[in-house]
Amino acid sequence: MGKAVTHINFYTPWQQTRIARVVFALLLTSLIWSFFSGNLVHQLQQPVLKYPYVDLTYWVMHWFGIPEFITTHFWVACLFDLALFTFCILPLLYPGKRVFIWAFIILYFIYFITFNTFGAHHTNHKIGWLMIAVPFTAANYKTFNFLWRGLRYFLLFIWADAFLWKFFRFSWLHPDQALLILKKNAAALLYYEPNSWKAGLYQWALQHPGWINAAYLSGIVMEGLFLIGFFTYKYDRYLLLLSILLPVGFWLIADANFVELMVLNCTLVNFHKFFVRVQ
Amino acid sequence: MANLLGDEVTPFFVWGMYSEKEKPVQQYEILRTTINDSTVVNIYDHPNTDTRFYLSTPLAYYKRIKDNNNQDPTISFLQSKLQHRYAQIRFLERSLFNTGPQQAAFLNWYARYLQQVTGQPVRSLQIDVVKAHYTDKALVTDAVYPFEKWERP
Repeated sequence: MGKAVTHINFYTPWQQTRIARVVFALLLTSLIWSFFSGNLVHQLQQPVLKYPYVDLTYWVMHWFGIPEFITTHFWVACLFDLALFTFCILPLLYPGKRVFIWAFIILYFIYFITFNTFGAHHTNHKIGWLMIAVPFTAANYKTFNFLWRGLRYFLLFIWADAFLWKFFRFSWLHPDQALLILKKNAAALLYYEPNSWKAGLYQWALQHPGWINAAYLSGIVMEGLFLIGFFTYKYDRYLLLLSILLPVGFWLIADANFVELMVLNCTLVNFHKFFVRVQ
Repeated sequence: MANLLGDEVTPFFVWGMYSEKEKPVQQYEILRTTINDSTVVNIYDHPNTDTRFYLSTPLAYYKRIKDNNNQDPTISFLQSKLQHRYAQIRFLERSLFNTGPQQAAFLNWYARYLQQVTGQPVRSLQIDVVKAHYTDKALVTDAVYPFEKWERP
């Protein structure tokens, strides 16, 4: 079983190894999905429009010309993607070799910036995949546990921040806020696929705006509940459920994709239940 | 602190998640791409949202640049914020923003990317702007007008 330090039931090095394998298996799955969808760097077809916005991290990357160099040289892009896969597979096989994990994080960071900047929209898309690997760079299991818990706070912060912004911007009082979001985001889907089940849902929502606005308010309350997680671990199983419901809700109601954030939900899972070493 | 100010420096994002008050809109705009005068690109044919993202967002940003008199809206934004101090960062324009070369190359890239994701040789592109409004039941198209045309050189 885990070793108790203060009130935290620490994961042992053996459990850390297993969690690492789970995380890197998920990462590998996401990369394979990107490959088959044509969204790895060598498949982006040398994109041209960039959007570093006013984000200094992006500015530094573009100042050094890193995204441009990789995407405009096809063979460099191929080698980059090959390295990304290699350093995702190696930690699966050797979770204790921190150098592989560092290499993966550096490569994935470059992929993250490159993908988002040439997507021409300043977004946090793929940040979950980038951050989830960080705790495994720890030199010992105690540091790993602190970083893993830190990542749990990062997840809590994401949803709590979403609540606080909505609360203090008074968007919860704004008339038809949810309906207006739906109208903006669903226009393309309603135009291209008016007979799909999701278009049917949106057409129903247009006729019943009260339900969609109520769903938005429920979402705000759910986000606010993540504040509890800053004070206790007791309700993590319920927060885990909410952190699944919220991205699904965003996808369903606003056709918005926060699904990849769900990888951070691993920090709310009690792996002590799954990885028990038989003595 | 940056979060309170609404500033983002990766990985320190502002997680607003639709907290900004939405303004009522009379007409919505959809960009419609037709390949080889025959195939309308339906982004929802592609199950991966990353592919949809790359099919729609760069094109929408390209239109924003065109609507902004061929100037990258980020440059306009910074000019309005920094006023005369913008001159101090003007030297960054070529490496950070979309000036002439990127704009000129965009449709060539879009054709290449479309060719890859649709698996169909792309000889020409027609991009139209669809204007539409909502009734209390559905989306209704008001007008369609051409935005850009591209042919393989």
